[in-house]
Amino acid sequence: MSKRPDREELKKEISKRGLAMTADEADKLAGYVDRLPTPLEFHLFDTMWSEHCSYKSSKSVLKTLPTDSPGVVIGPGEDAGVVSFCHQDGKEWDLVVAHESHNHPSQVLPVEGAATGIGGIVRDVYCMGARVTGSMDLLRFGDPQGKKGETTRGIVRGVVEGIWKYGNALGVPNMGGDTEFHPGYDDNCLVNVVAFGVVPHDRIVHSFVPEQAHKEPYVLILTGKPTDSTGFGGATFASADLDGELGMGSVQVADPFLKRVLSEANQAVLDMLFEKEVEFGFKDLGAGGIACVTSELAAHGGLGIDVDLDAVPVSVKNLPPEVIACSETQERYGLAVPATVIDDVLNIYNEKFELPRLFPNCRAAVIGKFTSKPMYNVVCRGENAAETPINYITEGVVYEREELPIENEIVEPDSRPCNPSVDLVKILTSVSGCSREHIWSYYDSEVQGVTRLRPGEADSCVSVPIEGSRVGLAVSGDGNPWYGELDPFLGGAHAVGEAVRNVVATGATPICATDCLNFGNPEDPKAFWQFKQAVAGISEGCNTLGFSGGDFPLPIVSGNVSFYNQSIGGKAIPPSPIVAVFGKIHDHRKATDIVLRKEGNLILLIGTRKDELGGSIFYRTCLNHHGGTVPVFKGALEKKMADWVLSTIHDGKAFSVHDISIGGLAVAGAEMALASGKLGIEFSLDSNPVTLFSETPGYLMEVDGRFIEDITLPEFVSVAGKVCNKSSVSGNGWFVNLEALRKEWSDKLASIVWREEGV
Amino acid sequence: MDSLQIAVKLNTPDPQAITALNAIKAMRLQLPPLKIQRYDLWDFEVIEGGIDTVSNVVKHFSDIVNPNKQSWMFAGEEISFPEEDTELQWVGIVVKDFVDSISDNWTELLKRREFPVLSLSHSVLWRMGYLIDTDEALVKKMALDLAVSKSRSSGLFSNPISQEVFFWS
Amino acid sequence: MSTAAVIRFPGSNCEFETARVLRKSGIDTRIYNWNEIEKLSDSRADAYILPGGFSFQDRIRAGVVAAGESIMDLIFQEAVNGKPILGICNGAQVLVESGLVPGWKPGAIQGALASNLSPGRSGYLSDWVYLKSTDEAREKSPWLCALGQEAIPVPIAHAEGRFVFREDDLDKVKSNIGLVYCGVNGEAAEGWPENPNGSILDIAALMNPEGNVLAIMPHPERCFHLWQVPPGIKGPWGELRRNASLKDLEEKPGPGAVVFKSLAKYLGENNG
Repeated sequence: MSKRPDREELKKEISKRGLAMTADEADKLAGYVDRLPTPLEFHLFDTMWSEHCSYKSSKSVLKTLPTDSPGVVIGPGEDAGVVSFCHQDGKEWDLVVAHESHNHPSQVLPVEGAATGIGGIVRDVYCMGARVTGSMDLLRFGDPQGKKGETTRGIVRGVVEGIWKYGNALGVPNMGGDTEFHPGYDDNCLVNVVAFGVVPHDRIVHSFVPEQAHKEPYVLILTGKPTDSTGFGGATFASADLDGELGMGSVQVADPFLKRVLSEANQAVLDMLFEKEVEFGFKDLGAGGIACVTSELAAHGGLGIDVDLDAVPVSVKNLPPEVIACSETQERYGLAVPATVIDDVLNIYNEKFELPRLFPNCRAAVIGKFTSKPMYNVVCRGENAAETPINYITEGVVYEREELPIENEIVEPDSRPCNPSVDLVKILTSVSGCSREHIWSYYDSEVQGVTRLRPGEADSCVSVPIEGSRVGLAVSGDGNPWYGELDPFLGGAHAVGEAVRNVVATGATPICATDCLNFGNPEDPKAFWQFKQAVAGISEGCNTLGFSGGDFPLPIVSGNVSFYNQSIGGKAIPPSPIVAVFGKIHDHRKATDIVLRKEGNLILLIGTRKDELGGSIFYRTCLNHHGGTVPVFKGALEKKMADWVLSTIHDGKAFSVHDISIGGLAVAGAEMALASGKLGIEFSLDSNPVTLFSETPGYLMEVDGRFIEDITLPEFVSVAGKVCNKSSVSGNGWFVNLEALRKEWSDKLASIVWREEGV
Repeated sequence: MDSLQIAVKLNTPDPQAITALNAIKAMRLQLPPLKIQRYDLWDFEVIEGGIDTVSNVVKHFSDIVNPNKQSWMFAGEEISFPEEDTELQWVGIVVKDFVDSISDNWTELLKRREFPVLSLSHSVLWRMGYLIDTDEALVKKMALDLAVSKSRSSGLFSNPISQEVFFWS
Repeated sequence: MSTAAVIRFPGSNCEFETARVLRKSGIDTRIYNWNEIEKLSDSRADAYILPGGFSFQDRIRAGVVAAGESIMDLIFQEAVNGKPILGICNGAQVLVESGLVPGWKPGAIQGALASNLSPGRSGYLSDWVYLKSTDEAREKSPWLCALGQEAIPVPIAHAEGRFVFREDDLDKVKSNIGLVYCGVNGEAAEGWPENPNGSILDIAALMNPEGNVLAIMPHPERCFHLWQVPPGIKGPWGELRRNASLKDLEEKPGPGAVVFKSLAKYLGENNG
């Protein structure tokens, strides 16, 4: 092979191949192989060293996140995080959680981007050996009525279509999520996806070749859709600026139908392997395709591998080796198994589940052999396509990025006129404040028959994922861009705080969290500062909101970083740390929703209101003001409130509970009434903007009047009003008839985004 | 008033066409089509502007054509199918729902947005490629058999109770 | 013990919960893959269920590709033999595309489940609707024989659920109706959203003339337990759900359980 190239030559290669790596990185690679790298090696390392795969800018910051807690089985590092969940019939069950972004693809191809986003995250949970029991989409779009409203509306429609067309077909219940609109996302929407599932503890599957492979011959079986050129360069695309142009190669085509069949076939294969008691490794194909899955399965198990690309089932003839190896064709998995079970595995995929009949050339095939020599060797049509010491591939790169604080001056509005009867209506019929019902109405939230509380019925969705067990799983994802923009630290902390409250409000105890960190260009010191601040905020939130006793934090067990989210002009999106929290309720029957139960019951306010309306929907919608003091994050107080709410629910004293966040107390009360049909709330509080609309964290709780006679309420709990038999919400000097408002509140989003009325 | 039709095609292989071809293979017909292509058809009735109005609508709504994944062309005189087609004898059938929300909603939306469009309606074009030297009348008959589902084992592309079909010309 | 077979097509996705509720109703139930024809034939099941999902991803038209699968020959024969056959959602679409429902001339396609027709939206719709059975259905359907006259809430989740027939058949179809969409208290549906898809005559479930085959678009298997009912739902079931004790929440049947109870009752009487 040729001798080691100089820098000029490397730069030419980079530009010729459209690589994202720097000349320094290319030089490092050339040093590893001591010659001109092959095209396959260039593309493989380009993927492995992309921000998406290597976390090269974020790694040192992510280390500061709390990840350790007694229940954690597998923390960040593998495809998904695993925590201990419950015992049932002598069996130990674990919860598997994963969280990712699919932002850039969704901006360009909303339907396919959102669809492959779900596809990818669900594969991450499947490949830990779990059954996937839920997914969730956390969406951030531009202003559908703003300057780029037309593009935004098309993207919203497309993303929702992608989610239902793909997600519903998979048979995984969609547990909702949240949707926010902010003009800062006009050129760069965010599509964050969460998936979770359950697995018996002794059936967790790892994404590396097992120890036994050092003693007997092991092979790599590739299964699923035949490889084509789709998604070639996908990982580097996910990590590079959006410039509005991309080659067709980057389009990933999702196929939920194959995925569903493949998932069932995988389950049958895993059952067979466990029955035969053979050790194996299993990993989904994502960024970097075959090249990543083969090298990672081998390297993380301390072995090398010989890969034969001629054995790879393809749908297009004569693809160059780097395309076969690095394309991101969807719906594929890699399996490391002993050579003795090859026939059994192939039989399940190719005969029992008839993959080849369902899609031309879709099948399982042996494409590699693990070797004791730690080399990554790939041959294609008789030629060496790669020959690299394998540890270099997974070694990664790290950068220390510079940061530059942004001074945000706090500006409060000059005056705060407030007419609650008018303002509340304005908020509830705004795009930010109206119901998300229309979006959920496309989602199948009930497949599998395990759903206990659906989107909109309670603060978090609750399911009962293990047959025969009463243990419920609650899940919520949050992140307020308006806070992040004013104060990224508080944006991070409140993302944790709100997700925790949402889970707690249903009676579930938070057990773990995941995060997706969406920011601008990390090479821009200001954007990198925002990133670091938000991570510090999440750490603060998690460190103060641990529920495992002692000083243990709420552990972050999985997550993802998405950089380079910015406008066409290069302006970064609002700092968008998005956090999902998972909670466990021992007896799902005790789970609380937001539906009011009985006229005359008392409404308790948990969390004293403070004058901190910065970033609030009241300021934005009623005063057209975008500044102000963001609510302070008081972790210790939040923890105390959560503990009190949980114990009250577990004692069976709370009839309904709703957290106070966007829109404050008035909106929380209105949402409870809107969910309840004929009942409403009469507040007995002062009618000022701080009391009604400040977004200080808290809860509303419906209890029987006798409940407070017997106990001393903590200082953060007070009586706020009572349940009345009218569909309304009212207070001193104000009244809003919700019956009249209901249609507009629930239909607003559809009218603007789907029907384009009045835009 | 002008009537114009556009045809929209995925730039990547269309999974629906792949499944259709598979389903037809399973029918073990004596003379099956060797290739199948699927297009979305959009029929515009425009008040003014003709081609310009249609191009404008297409430019405005990525739900109708997203240039990152689809290509489109005007049907009729300007239509041009791929070169590889010349190896086969092609016959097209159009399947249209008697009533459908997609067409109704797009028509309403365009009116609301004040495009000079009277109506927009959606249908699907299935093109079937037969051996080049097959008798043309026979090809048409075979295609028509596949076009309408009469029973479980005959026909595929349309349900005659809810959809209409016609030959593409 | 009576037995049932749940047929899994490529892309089905409700097979597990469907089998689960059948077992809970006292029926020994197994899931068969689309290509396990011999095994299925040997099983001599007492009843067959085509579950919900997206067989072949609804490509070309929901249900049509699965209807052409070889395993449907066997189902067709069993339907003609009079065995109880139930198609839920996608399963209902397969039955219609197989010519088993309405089934005046078994095998001929005489109805359609067309795409939902609703104002201002198209595509998938998940919601809860109210359903009411007909006298004929309670009399002759093994799937509906235990139903009462009151309306029950059941969830729907589909994009193609609008029953359509030829103009000439509209009179005839009335005696095939199993369930209709209706208001909370059983009053006639007043358009959307009580009738969620524009289905003609508000039909939610349709039988063949003999009554042994039923194609139902809503999902009774998803409301088998009381705890699966939404807390905010209107009507008596909402009251029941909101006021339920912990014990009732777990032990009381949901509104959909009666479909499977019907089958258990029917098989119990017929198998002695």
